[in-house]
Amino acid sequence: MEERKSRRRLAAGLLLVILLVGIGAVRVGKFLPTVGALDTPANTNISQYYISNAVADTHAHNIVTAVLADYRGFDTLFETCVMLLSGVAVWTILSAKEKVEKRTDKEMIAYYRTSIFGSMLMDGAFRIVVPIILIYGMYVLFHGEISLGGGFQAGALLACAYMLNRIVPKFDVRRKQKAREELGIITAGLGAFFFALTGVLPMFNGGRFMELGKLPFPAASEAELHADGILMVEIGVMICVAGVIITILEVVLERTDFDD
Amino acid sequence: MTELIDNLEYFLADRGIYMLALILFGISIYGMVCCGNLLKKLMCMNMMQVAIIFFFLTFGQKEGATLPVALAGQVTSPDAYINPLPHALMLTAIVVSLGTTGVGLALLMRIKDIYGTIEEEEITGKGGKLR
Repeated sequence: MEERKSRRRLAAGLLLVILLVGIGAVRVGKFLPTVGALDTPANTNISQYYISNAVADTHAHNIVTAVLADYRGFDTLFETCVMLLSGVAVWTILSAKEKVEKRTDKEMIAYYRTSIFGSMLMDGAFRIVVPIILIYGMYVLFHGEISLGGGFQAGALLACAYMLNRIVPKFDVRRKQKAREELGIITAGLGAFFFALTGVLPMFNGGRFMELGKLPFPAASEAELHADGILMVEIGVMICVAGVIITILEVVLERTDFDD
Repeated sequence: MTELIDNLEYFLADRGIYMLALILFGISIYGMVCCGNLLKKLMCMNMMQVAIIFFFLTFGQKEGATLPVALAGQVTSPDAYINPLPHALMLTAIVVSLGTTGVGLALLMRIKDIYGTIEEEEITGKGGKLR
């Protein structure tokens, strides 16, 4: 009882603080720029350079991709490393937990008969959807430069297709349990390595780290090389993100007892 | 009275979206402190990240501008395209929020294993199995 009262007092105090902060923000909020104004600090300095020169510099029509993969490649590189680390962290934290014992095939089929994901219709529909999602993921990847899309989204889509394929029950395929989480983390590491390799390759051609204009490929102009480099960066990011999501999914799935 | 309403309308049109982000932020802080369930705390942390992302994305807006996808030779003035920089930065922030959510869920699974519950009161108080 006492505890509940103190909790209620804490909640009231917190609400008061939030209200006061809100009122203060309304009072002081005039220093924030008007939404949509053209002369704000965020819209005047370097972003104007990006918009004016991105297409000529990198041949990437999507300026967001040009900023993400070329102008601010370091940011994306270390951010990909953060993704990889989060996958490793999830695996490390959960590796102390015991795996759920594998059922035999017969038990598995009986289990699926009683508790199907969705229904028969849903299962069939999802099986049809999986290859379409894969194709769409590739489309999003290769449209990262030309129009809207990019590596992160493509990786999420690939992992989505994998996830659907994993949770839809398969009656006809003999399940072979391999170490899938290891495969996932290896895939993620390969993606991050590919990204870093894209950064290292220009150094063999006399450039600096991540100087995509000096990639040792035959190309017509420096901007073409930038476009190639952006595509390589996107592919690395896609593999890394898909691997990390698959790792998290597999690690959790193998240690969760759904009979709970 | 009508003047007040006009002022309010101008304020909402100019800076109202900041208020929305602030309200979302306040709700999530309230939830993070006051929810007893650790999973709800994690969800509130996610909401907080969404509030910050909204706040940053509003800086990229420009009046009458279009998507930052341009063709060669088409760019006449940089004011015709919205600011790509907040979008690029927030794209990475979204992915990092995915990573933090994954790690948080893994920790919650371990907590559920050891204590048998993810209710904060039962873990710290009398109801928990340990201590």
